Amino acid sequence: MTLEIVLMWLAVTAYAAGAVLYTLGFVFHKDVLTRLALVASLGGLLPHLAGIAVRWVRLGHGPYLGFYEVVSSYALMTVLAFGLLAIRFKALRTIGVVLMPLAFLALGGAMLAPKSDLGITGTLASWWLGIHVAFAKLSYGSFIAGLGLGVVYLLRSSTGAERWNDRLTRLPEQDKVDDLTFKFVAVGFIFLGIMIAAGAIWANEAWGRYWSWDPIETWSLVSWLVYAIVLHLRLTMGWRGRRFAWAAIAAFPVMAFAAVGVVIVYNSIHGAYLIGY
Amino acid sequence: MSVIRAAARFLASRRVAVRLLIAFTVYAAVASAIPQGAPDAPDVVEWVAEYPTFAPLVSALGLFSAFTHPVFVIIAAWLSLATAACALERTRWAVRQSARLWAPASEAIDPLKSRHDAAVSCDQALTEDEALALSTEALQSLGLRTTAAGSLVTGRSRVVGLLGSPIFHWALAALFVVISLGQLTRSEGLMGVVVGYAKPDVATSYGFLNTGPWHGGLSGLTVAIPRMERDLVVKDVSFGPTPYVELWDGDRPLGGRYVRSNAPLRAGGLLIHMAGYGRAAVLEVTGGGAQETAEVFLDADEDAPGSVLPVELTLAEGSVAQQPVVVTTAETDDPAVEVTWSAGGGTDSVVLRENESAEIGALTVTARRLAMYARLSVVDDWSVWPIYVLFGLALLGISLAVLAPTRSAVVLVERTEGTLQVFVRSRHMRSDPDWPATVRTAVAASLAREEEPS
Ligand code: HEM
Repeated sequence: MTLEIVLMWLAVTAYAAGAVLYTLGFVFHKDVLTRLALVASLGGLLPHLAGIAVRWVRLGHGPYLGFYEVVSSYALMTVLAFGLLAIRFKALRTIGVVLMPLAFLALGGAMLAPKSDLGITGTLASWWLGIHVAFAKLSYGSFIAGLGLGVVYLLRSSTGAERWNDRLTRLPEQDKVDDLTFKFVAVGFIFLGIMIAAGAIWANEAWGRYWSWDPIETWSLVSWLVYAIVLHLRLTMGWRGRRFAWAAIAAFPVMAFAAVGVVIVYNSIHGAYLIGY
Repeated sequence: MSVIRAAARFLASRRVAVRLLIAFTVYAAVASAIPQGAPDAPDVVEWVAEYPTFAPLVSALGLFSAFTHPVFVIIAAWLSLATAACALERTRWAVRQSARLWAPASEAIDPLKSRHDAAVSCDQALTEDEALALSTEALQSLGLRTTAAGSLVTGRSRVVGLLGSPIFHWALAALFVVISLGQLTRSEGLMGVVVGYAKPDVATSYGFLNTGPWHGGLSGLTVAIPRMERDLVVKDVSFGPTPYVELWDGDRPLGGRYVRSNAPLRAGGLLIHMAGYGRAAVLEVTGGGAQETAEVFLDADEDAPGSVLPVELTLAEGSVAQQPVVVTTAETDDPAVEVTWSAGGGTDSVVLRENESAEIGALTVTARRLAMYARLSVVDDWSVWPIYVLFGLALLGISLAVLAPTRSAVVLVERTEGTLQVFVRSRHMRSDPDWPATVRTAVAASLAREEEPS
């Protein structure tokens, strides 16, 4: 096994431990376990970052070619978004119950995929690639944070769920969670907009068309519009609290499909980015 | 008049807006499952074969060109009108809000005093003026710009945050218009140019040409390829065969460069990309006193690596009946074409190198040049830069709306029956739940400061 693979498996193990400890701490209401879970989760970031760095140096490009690299970097963004929330808002640490299992599943899935070394081809050799990819990942991180916050909001507000409430007492007030959900969704919307713009400019440079309704282009627009609908529901139709949380959660699968599903389901010229042809 | 007003109100309806957004989104999502293209496009043909049950319906509904379909055009046009109507409404709203922000705050006095939770405790040793000055400092420390009037101090963040939503929606509405105009006036085509030759940008030079209904006519400029690299390597990345393309206006050069992926040649609204390459033969045909030149593009045969797809050519010259010839070629280091034609009951063929000739019936065919050719994609579209600018503006607007929301706070200082009373009220455009507490804490901390021993 190469150093990179060892590091990545360390990260998988740490995320798995984080996910399990969070779940146990949550179910049995044990603070110690939750604290350990945070240590394990953030601890996993180190080997994960190192693994990505080793590969980056070896191949000369960032983690955006092929399923393994792309999905691993999505897992990284999930844990980074979670770490940011957990450090900035101590009270939000419990959100790991939602996000860490997702990160674990994503990285585990990535590890099972082929890890072929794909090189930068002429089409990919552009500054726009970096901007496009960076903002795609930032938007993903923001939306997944919005998803976690939405789930926490719903868990706490569901009637007959005192059990949950007991366990989530340390979180900020509900209206604060609601506001944070909105902020993450709004910022994710901006990042996704920048990602789409960079993609269109790049397509024009590479192929001479800024937009060709290719499935992955269409789906990134669809997910942008879905989040525009979510923002409208809040800002123009006054959806707050539970309804808004539901909207933020419902939009996420669309985004996830656009990011990972489309290239698997459709035959797209963008295929290189996930499948590697 | 009332009809227009009713229509405007309907367009600016928020419910309708959300439904239109949903309709647009669902339509795009469904259409993405159907390959888009002409009936003979390979993706479409394959899909029709795969789904024989749906295909006739999809075809009858015109969904193979879903994004120019009248239903889509109507949804998009309606959404763009609604967005413009909303942008107008958002602009009026921003103007009203900013007027409100700058209105004299004296109206705020009574509601402030009657609200119990507005009171802030303070150091009773302070004079009213000191309390006002400290409150001003507190509001300034929160990034607000303050104005004092009598016993009131008002703080407001910059109004620029109010402009975010109107800018965003106006830019989107304009984007719809510019994109549509761009599509209607755009031209896009593929042109093969043999290395060492040039072609004018006119319709007959193209192998494939698609012009929008309002396209104003092709440029007539000259596209030349003086040379081609077999493999251009830039910063360790190999770009394969890369032509050096030049653009001329008569004998005035407009630009030239190696054209490759991510490095197109631009001149005005013209954008030239490399779309492919192959081998080419320029054949000179003479006979009956006339001379004609034929350009033959020989593309690689993907099913038989190493060989090229034969091209059928009709030689019509002088009194000789039209003679189909088939041209193929092999070898890069020693370029040659093979010309095959029917003679008597069977076929004849000859292999020609550069400047070699053969007699075909009464015609003489000379291989004048055997070289590479580049298939250039030539796009004429003025709308690309305006689209970038408008989208950038939209992103700027939404960033302002989300990241710089307008905030304000009013502090009232009053001495009644010897007690110094301070009231605070705050407003946040996005109703951030932290804002009231932030303001109260800042003001309270500032007014309590005097109590600390200095
Ligand atoms: C392409 C179509 C549209 C998109 C992508 C879009 C997107 C958005 C987004 C992202 C926001 C939140 C940010 C902000 O406050 O500016 C927003 C707000 C808003 N939009 Fe739209 N919108 C569209 C069309 C419309 C239409 C047709 C209307 C008219 C009814 C409308 C009315 C509003 C209103 C009233 C707000 C709230 C502004 C605020 O609270 O400050 N939008 N829109």
